[in-house]
Amino acid sequence: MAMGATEDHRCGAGTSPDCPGRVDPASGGDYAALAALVARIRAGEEQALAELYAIFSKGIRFQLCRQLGPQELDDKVHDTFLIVVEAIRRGNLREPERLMGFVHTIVRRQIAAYIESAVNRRRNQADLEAAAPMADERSSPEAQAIARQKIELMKRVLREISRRDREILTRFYIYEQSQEQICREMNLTETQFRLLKSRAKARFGELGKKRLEGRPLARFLLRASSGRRD
Amino acid sequence: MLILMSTAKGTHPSEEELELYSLGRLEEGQSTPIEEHLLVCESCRRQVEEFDEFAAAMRAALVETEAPKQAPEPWTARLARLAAVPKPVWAGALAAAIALVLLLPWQQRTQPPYPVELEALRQAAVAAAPQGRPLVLTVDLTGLTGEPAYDLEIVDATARLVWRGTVRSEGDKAVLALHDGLRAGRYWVRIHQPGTGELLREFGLEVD
Repeated sequence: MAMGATEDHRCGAGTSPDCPGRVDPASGGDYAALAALVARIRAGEEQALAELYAIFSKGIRFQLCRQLGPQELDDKVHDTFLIVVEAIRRGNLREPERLMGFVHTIVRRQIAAYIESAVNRRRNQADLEAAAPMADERSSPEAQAIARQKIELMKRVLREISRRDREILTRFYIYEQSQEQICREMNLTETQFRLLKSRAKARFGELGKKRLEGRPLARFLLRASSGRRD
Repeated sequence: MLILMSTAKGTHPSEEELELYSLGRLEEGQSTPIEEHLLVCESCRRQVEEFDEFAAAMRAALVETEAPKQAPEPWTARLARLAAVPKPVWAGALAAAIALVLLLPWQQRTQPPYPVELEALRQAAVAAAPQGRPLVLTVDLTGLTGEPAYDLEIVDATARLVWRGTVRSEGDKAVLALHDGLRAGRYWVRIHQPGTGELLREFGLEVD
């Protein structure tokens, strides 16, 4: 089975080259194309599997990594893909144009299963905890340094804005208040609220870009830590 | 409220929807169409990652800049310092105290949050925080099972439940904001396994 090239072990969205079965969700006729792809998989066409993998593998990886972390990610993506393929071959996908929803459901079930299995494993190993090997879940020193650098950049952004604007951001990001509540209590329009956030984001991006200019090592580390291969 | 219909056939979710998804503030019914879309849309996945990164840096920076790091001065030390003040000053101090009492409710609401780090080290000292002030608790999850979220509860010294809810994991920590803060006293912050309710970790917190 064609399963795509070697994968990295990080969560990054990655850059995927154009591929034969590439889906552009903004275009109209994708669902018919997906249905045709399903029919080819059911007919046992090997190339259709490669296309299915090219379409979904990065998205599956993204969601598994978001929920479960980067440990053993390649295996998890592979297992999930096999379940999808088997289910399609068995005819479990009754409406082929619902392929995206079908894959999503399988991914969600897999996530729930991995969590349950981690809980059971932990319970069963409770007595052996001292001897049981444990993955180091902390970030690498490089990733920590980069995260620290981003926080410093953000602090700079925050120093440049007014106290009131900082309060708005605090309410949204720390206290998790809704946009509606913040606008109501601070007498803001939705546009003012969105502008404040987008300006802060733009300034953060701008400072980050400046910081990286002329620093090839930092640029390399940033790419490596985010899993991007551009 | 947003109309979360933009992931219907043929369109991308809006930036706002992706940000709310990144922040975990969508209900399951709202996040499902977005997750389905993310399965096949690389540009939206990138945007979600950018929002993740921005929000993580923003939270950390806000906690660090908006809240001073100093530990609160014990009330005994404050009293001793006051006792050393010359008597004529008391009249002015009394007036200031009355003004303070009148302004206190307003001031507490507008005070920046106080950051509290709850660390999972055996030798770590019990964390301290000032009473009646917004708190941002950063809970150490290092070495736990790596769930996307954990159940958290706060109980006081008499085991009375003060707060219970779910906190999302952000790497090896979780952040909980308590807008109304806590009253003076000893508290226990407990992390439970979601689903089973098994107690995984407990931290002490002294509020005075």
